[in-house]
Amino acid sequence: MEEQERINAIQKKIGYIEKRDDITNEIPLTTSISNIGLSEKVSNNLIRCGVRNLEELLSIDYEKLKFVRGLGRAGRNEILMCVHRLGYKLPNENLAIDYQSIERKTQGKILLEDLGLSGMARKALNRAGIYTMDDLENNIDKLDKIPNFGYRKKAIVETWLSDLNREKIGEEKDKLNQKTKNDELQQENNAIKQRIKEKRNLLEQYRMLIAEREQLLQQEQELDRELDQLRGEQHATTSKLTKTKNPGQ
Amino acid sequence: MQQLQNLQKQKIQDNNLEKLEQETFYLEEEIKRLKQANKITKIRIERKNLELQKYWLKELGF
Repeated sequence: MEEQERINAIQKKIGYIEKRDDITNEIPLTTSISNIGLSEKVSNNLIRCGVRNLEELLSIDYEKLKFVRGLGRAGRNEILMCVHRLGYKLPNENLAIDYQSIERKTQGKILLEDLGLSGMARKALNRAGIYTMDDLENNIDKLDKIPNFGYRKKAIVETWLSDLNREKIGEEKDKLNQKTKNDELQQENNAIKQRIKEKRNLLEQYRMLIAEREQLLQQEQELDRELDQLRGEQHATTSKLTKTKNPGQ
Repeated sequence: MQQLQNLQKQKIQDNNLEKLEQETFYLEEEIKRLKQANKITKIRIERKNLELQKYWLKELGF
């Protein structure tokens, strides 16, 4: 929410308007610059450079507007606003600093404006191509070579970045610890799965052995019955024989 | 909170591992015992078969 509010504040400041898709070529391209809706100052500066109508204005690269005498950031933003209102676009308008800062904000990057640096320091860094906190971190070695960026500002930036690095290192450590824990848990899970497989195999073996035992016991019982029968018959025959031999007894 | 949950999960897993190991050990012991017992009964059955064969051979006059 705070970031959204910041983005809205920046948009209000530069007068950024969303491009309107409903307006398409309402005004003809041959209308003169003074009738588009620009302020007198801006339109006079453009006319002085040879831009007389809308068509010529739309053919100008945004980067080249920087070289128009008397046309600053506010003037350029005004031109962008006007062109967008009419439903057109300037070539390379995405190179506008404010345009890019809004895009960076929506990407979730921390801009130099949010860090509390003075305007001069910020502009010095912008001239060196540094717009966000990530750019600062990557170009910390080049801060010495940036003109109008003195040792005090450099010291402030370095303390911020060192605090950030400490936090980052802590985060990385936590991530590593989590990774190792996850690996350990995975290993344990694999060990448990293996044990479960072994247990299943052993259970099958156990069941087969029990079935075999039952069969063997059955066989043994049948054999015992047969043998008992035969022993009984044998006993009967031997007793008969002894009686016939010794009739008196 | 998440750390606690992870630790609890780990404890449960450790207990499960221990139980599994105990059960597999018990099963292995039982399997050994059964194999031994089956071997002995097989030997007994062979002996009794031999006895039966002897008797029949006697009956038949061999």
